[in-house]
Amino acid sequence: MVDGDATETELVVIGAGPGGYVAAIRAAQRDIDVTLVEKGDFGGTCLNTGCIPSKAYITATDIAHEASNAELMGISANPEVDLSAMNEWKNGVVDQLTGGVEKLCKANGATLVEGTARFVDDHTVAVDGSDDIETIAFDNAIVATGSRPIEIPGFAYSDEPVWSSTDALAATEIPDRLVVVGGGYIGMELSTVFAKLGTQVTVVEMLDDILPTYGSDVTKIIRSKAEELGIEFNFGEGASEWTETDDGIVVTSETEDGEESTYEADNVLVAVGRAPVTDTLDLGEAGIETTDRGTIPTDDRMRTNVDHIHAIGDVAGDPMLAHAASKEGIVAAEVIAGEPAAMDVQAVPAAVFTDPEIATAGMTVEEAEEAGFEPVVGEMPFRSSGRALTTGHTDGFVKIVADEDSGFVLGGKIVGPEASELIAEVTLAIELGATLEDVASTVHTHPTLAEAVMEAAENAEGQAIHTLNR
Amino acid sequence: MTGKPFTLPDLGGSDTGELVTWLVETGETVSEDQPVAEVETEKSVVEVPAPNAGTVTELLVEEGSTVEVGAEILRIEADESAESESDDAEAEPADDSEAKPEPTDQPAEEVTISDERVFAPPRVRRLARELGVDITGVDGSETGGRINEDDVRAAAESTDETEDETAGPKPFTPSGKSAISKDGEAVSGAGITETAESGESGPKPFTPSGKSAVSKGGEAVSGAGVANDEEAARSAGGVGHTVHYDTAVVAELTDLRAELEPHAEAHGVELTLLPLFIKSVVRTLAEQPTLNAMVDENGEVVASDEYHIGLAVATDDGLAVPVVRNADEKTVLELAEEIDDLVDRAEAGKLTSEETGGGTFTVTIPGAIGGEYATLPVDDSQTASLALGAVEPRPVVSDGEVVARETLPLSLSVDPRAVDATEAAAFVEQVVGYLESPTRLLLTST
Repeated sequence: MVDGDATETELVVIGAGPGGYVAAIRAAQRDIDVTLVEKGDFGGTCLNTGCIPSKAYITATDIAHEASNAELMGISANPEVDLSAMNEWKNGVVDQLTGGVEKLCKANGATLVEGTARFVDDHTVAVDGSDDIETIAFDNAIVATGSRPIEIPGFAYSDEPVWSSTDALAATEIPDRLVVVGGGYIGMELSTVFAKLGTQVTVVEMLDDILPTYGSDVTKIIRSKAEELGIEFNFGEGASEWTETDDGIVVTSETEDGEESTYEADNVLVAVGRAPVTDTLDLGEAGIETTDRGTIPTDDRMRTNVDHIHAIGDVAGDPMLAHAASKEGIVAAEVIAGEPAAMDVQAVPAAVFTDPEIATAGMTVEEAEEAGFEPVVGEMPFRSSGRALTTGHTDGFVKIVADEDSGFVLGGKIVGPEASELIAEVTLAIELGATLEDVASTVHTHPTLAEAVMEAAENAEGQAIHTLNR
Repeated sequence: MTGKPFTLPDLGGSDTGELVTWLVETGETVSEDQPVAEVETEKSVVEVPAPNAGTVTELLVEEGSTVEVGAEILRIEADESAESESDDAEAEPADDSEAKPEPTDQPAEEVTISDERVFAPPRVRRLARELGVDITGVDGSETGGRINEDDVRAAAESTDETEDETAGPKPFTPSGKSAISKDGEAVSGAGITETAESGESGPKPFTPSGKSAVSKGGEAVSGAGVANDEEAARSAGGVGHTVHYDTAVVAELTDLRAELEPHAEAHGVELTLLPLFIKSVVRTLAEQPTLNAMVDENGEVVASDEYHIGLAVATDDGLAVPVVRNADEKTVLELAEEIDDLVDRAEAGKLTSEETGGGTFTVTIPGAIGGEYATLPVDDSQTASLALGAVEPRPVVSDGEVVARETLPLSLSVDPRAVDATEAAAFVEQVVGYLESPTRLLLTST
């Protein structure tokens, strides 16, 4: 139902995060008339309350932490951290990026509309703005509304001491004691930040290890470093409630058997995952189906069950990663432009910005076996890397998984300094169908951390120079 | 919207042309490929087809004025479906150096992306999606089974061949005959672009119109008079010519080549499609002597009983034309070996003068002049010349569906004094027949 005042557009994109704004720009580049609807700030979670602010904090706290832990290098310092000032600097970075995104969208010809969009039918959305409601008739739509932190019973984010990741990244005072509920990547990244700022951090995790799916070879390094930073782990416990005391709060946790523990703290950060944002969309009006988890299922062209409506990014389910959202946005825009695009990639890398960093791409050894390959693994420990030694960070390794017969690189797992950067080379090798020999024969700059990727490939071939061959 | 500007397309080598007549007017609705203007170049009068369906919003050039290639000549407001199609065309990666004036009008059938690990770089996977090939079923020819573009194209072609089993309706091909028919069926003159008053749209980007039977030699003459219009031909300062275009679907031929390849290899010979093309041509020449002939001083057509096939090869110094002598007496293996040697040395500029003269017929090898159709001059000492385009997947209609097929565009230029339009069409039809059904070559000897 389109009333007489409906604005018409070829494509409406709902949500201007790293999925939506990229989709809008690509669509505009294809001469599609595109309208981008955003209820909050441009850039979504990633730029405003996720990737970017957390990395700003991680870098800043690393500087403080390293300066005060560099006696071996002959440096003695006792840096004073003003979290309020750090927050201001972080906000400046965020503003610059979000402003840039908005300008880019405009410069590419996208029409920007502020407000919350909901479907009226399968060709119309209504956008509730601050003053009025705009009706937009569309030929195609892309839903890119992202996700928000999951709230658990007993811990309402509206209560001051209870933090979501968003609250943690807006804190202006360093808490003395922080309970972190959840040992996933968000919990671990923020635990590390606050531990480095001097906070006594206690992690409460329901499973028996941190960072599920990364494997014990990874988690043991991260845990041991975290424990060095003073982070305390309590596994097999779920947080059940918190109460206010004269001296802050007490968080109560329970094991499966009902055994209770209590932890005194100033704040509790709940980081148990993220849930898709669909509640404001009236998806049913357009006939769009969702899963039990609330995500919108899509095919490899990012189409929902309604062909001309696409869903991308966190709202479309795992992997909930900004770069996956961006790629999905490009695919959706190109599919709408009639191009033979598809989510046709061999690997979506993932990175965790703990200390040390973790990054993975492609298959693990187990996955390779399952897929019918005879995997061979090459490893290069960072303690054998000259460059790693000079950075003072030698924990970790590069592991590369390949098919023994063909030498094709199947996967990579990196723990160590700049792992998030180094994984790009492994990802490229996977996408291109490169072999161990291709990677090993490529000259890498010396002295760099990237040499470790080359050495790991050489090691898989039994040819490494700087580490003993298997 | 005021309509998308449409620029004068490449006119087959000419930089400029005179816009002789507008065939449409402002406000007129046009269909894709509908001729919109006649443009006269040094070589011929050509009809410029509409790039997409839509409404003509503005004619930007007056009749009689000279227009440069690339200049805007009119604006067309595309209708919606046409617009998305043109977006398709723009998105085509320029992965071929050859000119590809043939945009894919219809996207290939959508293939579902498998979770299976595939060893092929993104550009190859994109090609597979473009051609509607499920890449997980493609045999990679590189070490370890890595898949490259050629593997994907070959897979597209073999898929097409399976679909060939049932003949479908007519594809885009300019001839009146179905490109997927395999039986070399009787000739229909409808494919003769110059002489037939055929409504068929011809090869893009332009169709030599019914009025341009004779290549630029003063006024255009009507097709009916072409064959005997020696004067018109002469007035061009050389031998004028008519051209006939057709397209062969060469799935069977590429299969035959693949089948023979290991056997040829056992003889130390690398087998390409070219000797098979030549075999088909020579066989057809034997059936139609006027194309293996010359016109003497008295205007008499003198057929040759020898078959010396000149191969026009693109080199850094222009076209070189080494000659395969007595091609009719040679086996496919012998032809393969000789052609390989001649082409190599032609490209290296190492041919002797004996090797380049005395041809009775000329074949331009694929890739020498663009990838599609070409209009070639006919040598004074010959009566015909055949240009082969590139073997590539192109859209073909089969069973009402547009599918990608490996096809070979053929352009035959003939001296109208010796070969009339019907004969030219018959020749091309017969060559196409052999190419599409190469086992027929076994039936007779040359």
